[in-house]
Amino acid sequence: MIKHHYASGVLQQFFALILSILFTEKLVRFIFYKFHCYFNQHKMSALAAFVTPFFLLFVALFIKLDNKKKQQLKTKLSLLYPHITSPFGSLANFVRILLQSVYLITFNVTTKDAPSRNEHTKATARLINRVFRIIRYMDSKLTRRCKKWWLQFQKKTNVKPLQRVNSFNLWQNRILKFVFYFMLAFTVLLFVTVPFSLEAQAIFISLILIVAYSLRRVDGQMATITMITLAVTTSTRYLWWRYTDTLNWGDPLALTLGIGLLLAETYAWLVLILGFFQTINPLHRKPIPMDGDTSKWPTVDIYIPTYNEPLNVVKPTAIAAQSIDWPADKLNIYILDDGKRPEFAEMAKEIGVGYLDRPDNSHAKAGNMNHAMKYTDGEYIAIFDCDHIPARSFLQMTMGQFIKDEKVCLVQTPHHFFSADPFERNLDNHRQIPNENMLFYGLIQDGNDMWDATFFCGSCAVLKRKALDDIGGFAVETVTEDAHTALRMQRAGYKTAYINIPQAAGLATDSLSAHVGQRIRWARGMAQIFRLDNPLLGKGLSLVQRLCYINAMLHFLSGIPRIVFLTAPLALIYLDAYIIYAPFIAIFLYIVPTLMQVKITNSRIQGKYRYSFWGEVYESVLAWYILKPTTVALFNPNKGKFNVTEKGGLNDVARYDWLISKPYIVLLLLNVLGMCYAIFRLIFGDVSQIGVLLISMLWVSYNMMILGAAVAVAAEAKQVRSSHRIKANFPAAIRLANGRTIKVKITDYSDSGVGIETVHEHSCRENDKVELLMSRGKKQFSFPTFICNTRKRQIGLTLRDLSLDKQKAFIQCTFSRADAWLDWQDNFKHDKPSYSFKRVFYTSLRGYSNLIFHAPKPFRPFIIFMTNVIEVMISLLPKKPKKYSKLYD
Amino acid sequence: MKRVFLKGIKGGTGSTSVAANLACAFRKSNEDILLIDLDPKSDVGLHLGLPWQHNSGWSNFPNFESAIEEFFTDNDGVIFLPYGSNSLGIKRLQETIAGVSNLKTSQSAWVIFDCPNYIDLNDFSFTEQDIVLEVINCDAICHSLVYKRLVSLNQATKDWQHYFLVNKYNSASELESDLLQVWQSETPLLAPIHINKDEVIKESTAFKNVAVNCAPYSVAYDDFETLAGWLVSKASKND
Amino acid sequence: MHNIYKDQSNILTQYDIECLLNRFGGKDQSYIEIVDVQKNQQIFAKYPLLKEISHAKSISTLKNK
Repeated sequence: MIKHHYASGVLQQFFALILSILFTEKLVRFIFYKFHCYFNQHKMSALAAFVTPFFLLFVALFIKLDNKKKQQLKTKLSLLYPHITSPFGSLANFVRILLQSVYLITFNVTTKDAPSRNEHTKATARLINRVFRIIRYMDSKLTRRCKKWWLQFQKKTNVKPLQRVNSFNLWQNRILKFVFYFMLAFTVLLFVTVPFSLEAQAIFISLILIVAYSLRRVDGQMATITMITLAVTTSTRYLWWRYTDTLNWGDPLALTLGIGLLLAETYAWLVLILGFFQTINPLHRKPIPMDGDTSKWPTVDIYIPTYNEPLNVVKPTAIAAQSIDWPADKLNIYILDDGKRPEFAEMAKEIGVGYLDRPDNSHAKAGNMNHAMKYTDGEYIAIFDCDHIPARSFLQMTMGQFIKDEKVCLVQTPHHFFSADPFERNLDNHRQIPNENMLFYGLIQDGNDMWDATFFCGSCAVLKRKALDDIGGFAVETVTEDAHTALRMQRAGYKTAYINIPQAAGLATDSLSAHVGQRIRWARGMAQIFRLDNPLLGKGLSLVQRLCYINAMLHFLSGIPRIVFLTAPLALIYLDAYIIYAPFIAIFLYIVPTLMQVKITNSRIQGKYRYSFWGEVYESVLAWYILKPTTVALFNPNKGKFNVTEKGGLNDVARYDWLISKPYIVLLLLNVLGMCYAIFRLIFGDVSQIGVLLISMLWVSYNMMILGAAVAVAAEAKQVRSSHRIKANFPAAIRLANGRTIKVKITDYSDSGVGIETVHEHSCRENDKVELLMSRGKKQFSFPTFICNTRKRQIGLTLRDLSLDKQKAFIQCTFSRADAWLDWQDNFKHDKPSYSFKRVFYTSLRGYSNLIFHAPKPFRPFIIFMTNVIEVMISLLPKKPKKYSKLYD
Repeated sequence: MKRVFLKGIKGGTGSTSVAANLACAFRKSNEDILLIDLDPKSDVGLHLGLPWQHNSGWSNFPNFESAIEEFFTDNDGVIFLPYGSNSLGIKRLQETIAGVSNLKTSQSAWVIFDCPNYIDLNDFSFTEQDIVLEVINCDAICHSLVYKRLVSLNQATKDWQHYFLVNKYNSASELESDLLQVWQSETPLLAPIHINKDEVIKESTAFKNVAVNCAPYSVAYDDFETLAGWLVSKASKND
Repeated sequence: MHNIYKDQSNILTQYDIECLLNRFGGKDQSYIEIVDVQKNQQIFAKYPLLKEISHAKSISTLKNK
């Protein structure tokens, strides 16, 4: 080290000696100073550092470089070459300088801020903005005008002569009826089958689209029915065209694939028509109040079946069930424990509810409840899954239906979840986008109720014991005992009812795999019912009930068609198979408007419960998984179990569920490769195919978007289950240690804490002991709490070591409040397809980035390498020079 | 004129502070209000800002007509009549009640009488529109007294509307919440509202004011407002 | 009037929700609050004085009958 240092010292003196021969002393010092600068600070090589000062001196012979000018030059250069990094003398910088210089020379770019050009862009932006505003204005005008016309039209039709015509006895004539129906059918047939030239089709479809578009925001049942009629006509027409005109009989491969697609489309059409029919007139049943004399009220048993759920999940449910407003001597609660756990028996004894277990676990939940029916004798049976906490008004909201009509055997209420389900959690859209359940409980069940075909969903429902006895207890033949039981009771002539008021709430499934597992069970059960007790056949059901059931079952057969849709456009790209054998323009004129028409109609009907395009995402996630169990169950209903292992519990770190997303990733890769190949073919392939290729590519990119969103779901977000905070808004009070009271508003609560907000800034500090006063009806309860955090007007309280009585009281004041879940559906605005499309698109982008960031370990070096390469490549490209800001002038 | 008689079922139930706060709560919703102190302790004035040294009242005058000068109006507009320093018999009480009732006030005005706890209600002539609020606390003595009172009310024919009003309720106390639970489900004539125990009620007296004015964000404020609202609804049913 | 209400909300009319809130938010007395008979019995058992009073009361009501 010393030696080296000594050597460099000698070397330096040597050079100094030589240089002093040529230059003055001042210049020698300058050269050494520069050399040190370049070598040590700019990290140049020794040679470059040695040569550059001489170069500078040489340049200085021609150009006078004083400090100020140097500074200006530096700034100028840094503006023109914004992406040059230090150390300055690297190979990459050389390439950058070269490319940038070429760019600067070839294109006339200035570093000066060009106001004129900016002005220009601004003007363009303003123009575009104005055009958009005009379009929007025209749109709203048109919609409003249509509303007005529609209302006027309706008023005019409401006149008396029409009513008189309406009440003619003539209409009851059977032959006349028959003639009318025949004429109707004939007209529809005509509409559907008459062949159009392309121009005629264009006019026809655009007329229908205009009507549908302008009607979409007009209120009222009639407008809905009109839109449905139009959608049915166009879609049927489309299907007819597909069957008659578009099969490629010349090419066996294309024919097979084409028929496959056609069958999938037929399935979609059937589901669409049945769905329209199911939801055309939702009933919106209202609760019937109970008679004031409680001595006449019937006895009710509450079953809480459990198998392996933890105690702290079951306990609140049992406590809440106890505090349901029903005469205590007519209300019996039983925990049906298939896990046979002694601590559950103890807990049941402690809080004072019944506990039943059985020697075996045959037939799972249905068997469990059948066993319990032998040991209990209530006239009605209410069932809660062990994590569904009932509101105290549950029985008074539902029992009125039984009292009014003794043929009613089932009253179902919606399943409401206060925690985010895997979709909502992983996509981070809880309470922003209606979840998967919403469509079923918000719309379909209400629609079913109209046709007296309400399904039993296994929880949050009351059943009549007599009806159950009539059909021999809960059905045990399938894995969805609930739906099957209801079907049997309906066959036996009983009625079912649905009340769309959430009267219980629970925890959603923890993980995507558990969620998928649950759906697999439902799909399998539905397929089993289809085989064992087909609702289309057999006695006792009306036609409409059969149709509703068939629709529900078809829904679970969506696996194959969905996968067909996700792969169909690839047939043309990879195999050159014309699966839709028609000219490009015909395809365009039939498919796009029909799809739009159907989307607009569905958006109108389902708008509050399911946003456009999200249905496809939900379906795509499940498609692969329900495909196998449904198919197997259809062929052999008694075979096999397909439960995905439940991982359950907490996700303490964010992770990516590769196992579950494998099928979508394969599909995604297929589509991405297809897209690349299509671009290749577009450039180098046959010119005549450009049209069809473009349509296929459009379809593929849509599929890629849906698949991207499906992939995004598999990124399991971090979650802490122990305390789900539930948003709330009701009054309460606190009493401070000094005895003063403050009115507060409860903003959220969990089973171990409460968040409150005061009207004014408060003077509470952390760890203070305060009493929380909450009331339930006339009764007021006080809970000892500690302040765990404070912000301006917010206070967080924790509850510690509550006695059993206090625990009960707390649940009564929070989870089982009657109005606790009433606002669930009001959070959502009506669907806007464009907005919804944007959301799905961003979700999809998120899916792609998830794929990259969560890549498994072996791929990671490669991905890091690739990203680095891409980054460097991008950094080499010429950049726009930085603008010379006027501030520094 | 609507008459409300407030009395404790025993001493120390806090009926005077209830009377003063209730009067102010009525004023807040712009009702005309007269507050008459019938209790020889004569402490209503202290709640409403009357100087401590002022110890004359209607009892210091030979009859009600001559005591008209003794009416005061506090900052909120509550008109009140202090008792004064003379101990008087039942007869003078009856006269005063009658005198107040004959005053020319608007039909919708409220009169609150703060009565001593020892008076016998049967000594006074009530009408069916009159409301008697008997202030009770959640303790065992009150429980016993309430049931005794219920027996006596059952036996005699009462002309007035009688209610028990729970004051100083502390839901953190096990006994108090147990008692209120029993009363709410079993005791007839229990007012559907109770006044929660609140430090500000005591504190505000020390500030020569009432809780309704001192602590608008307290539970006490809500309680008295609800009580006033309930009385209004009772009175409107009477009409 | 009925129809106007119906159109406002698809699930529950505003009126219905208000009714529910009134009935269950503790604002109104018409909701059938179930008397917790068991709970009262427990309370009587806990305190001798209350037990005595309720006992005496039940005897007197029997006598009256």
